[in-house]
Amino acid sequence: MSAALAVQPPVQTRRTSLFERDLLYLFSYDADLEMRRDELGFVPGGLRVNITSKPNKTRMYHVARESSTLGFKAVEGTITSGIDRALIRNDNIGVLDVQLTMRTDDGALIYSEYRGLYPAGDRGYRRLISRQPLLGTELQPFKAPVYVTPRYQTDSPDYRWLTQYQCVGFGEVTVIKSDIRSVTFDIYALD
Amino acid sequence: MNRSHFLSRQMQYLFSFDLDLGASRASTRKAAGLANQILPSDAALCPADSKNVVYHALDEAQVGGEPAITGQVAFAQDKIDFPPGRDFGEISGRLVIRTRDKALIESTYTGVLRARAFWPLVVRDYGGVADAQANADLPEVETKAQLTTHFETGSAKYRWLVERQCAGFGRVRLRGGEPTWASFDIYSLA
Repeated sequence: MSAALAVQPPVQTRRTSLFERDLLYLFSYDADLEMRRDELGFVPGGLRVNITSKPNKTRMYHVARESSTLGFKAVEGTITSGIDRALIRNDNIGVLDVQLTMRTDDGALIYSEYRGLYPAGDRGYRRLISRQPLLGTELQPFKAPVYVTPRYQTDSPDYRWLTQYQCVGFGEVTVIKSDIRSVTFDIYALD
Repeated sequence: MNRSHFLSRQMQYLFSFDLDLGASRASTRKAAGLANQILPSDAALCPADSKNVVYHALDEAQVGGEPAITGQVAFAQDKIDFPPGRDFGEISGRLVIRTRDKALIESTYTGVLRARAFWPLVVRDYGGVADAQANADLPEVETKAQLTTHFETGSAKYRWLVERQCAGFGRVRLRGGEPTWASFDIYSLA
């Protein structure tokens, strides 16, 4: 149940139990980030980098290959454009600032923007900027978790259900020779 | 080849907070007829003895080896947007936590209020220029709310919080579109 009337609000005391919570799986995507990388340079707090994904090379898909999600049509398609205006902070935290547009296989456009974090690990900042030693190899890429917080906007009646949710993404970034090469996410709605 | 397995997903409970939004809140409503009705609030400086507390709901002293966060909400500023024709609200804001050992931690958050079939009750009589007394006669409606947040602090003891992307699950009570009380459980995504 989503709501209840409270005719007489109870005297408010500190809770001793947690609210119910759920993560509702929505879709996944794998982003190839080798399109373009612009290093803006050092700014107060860290290094700014703009990373652009290859257009139409990133698929949204359902991990379990199901055709519906939460009773609605599954989100399947491609990311037509995406950019991450990233800040690699000098306290070893990467901050994501992403805007992307998705086109579903049935032609709907869905826009998303989100912030996120990825812990670069101890001395991660120095290793990423100094490239000495290079982080990750082709045979043994460096992988790190990344977490994002997307919301979605669309006017498509088939996908408007997405817009009501605050979402989170659990992801993994792949770094080779200190370059972020790709990132993959599972996206969930908070409920 | 797309993945056929889920990535690891875990959430670690961190702390909870309660916000009494009734007494110390001033609000402004835009006049009825505007397409996007916004309800900004004045920043609420919460008194030390307020009901705006931060606590561990299970009374544990540590969270994953780090000190639990307990104290009070010292400052809260929030905004609710009611997208026209939709059955949810969008929330955003900041709050400052003062821990029992006097550290200051700021949270910046965004999220949603959702009440599905009860949404008309949430925004009932939210016509912009409402009679305060009439509003007081409306029943309170409690909605589910979800938010994402991150933290900033200069405290060495709580520095670990800054490295976490967090999410919150909570409840918000509104009367005539005005929030009166909120409570959230905050989790770290891990």
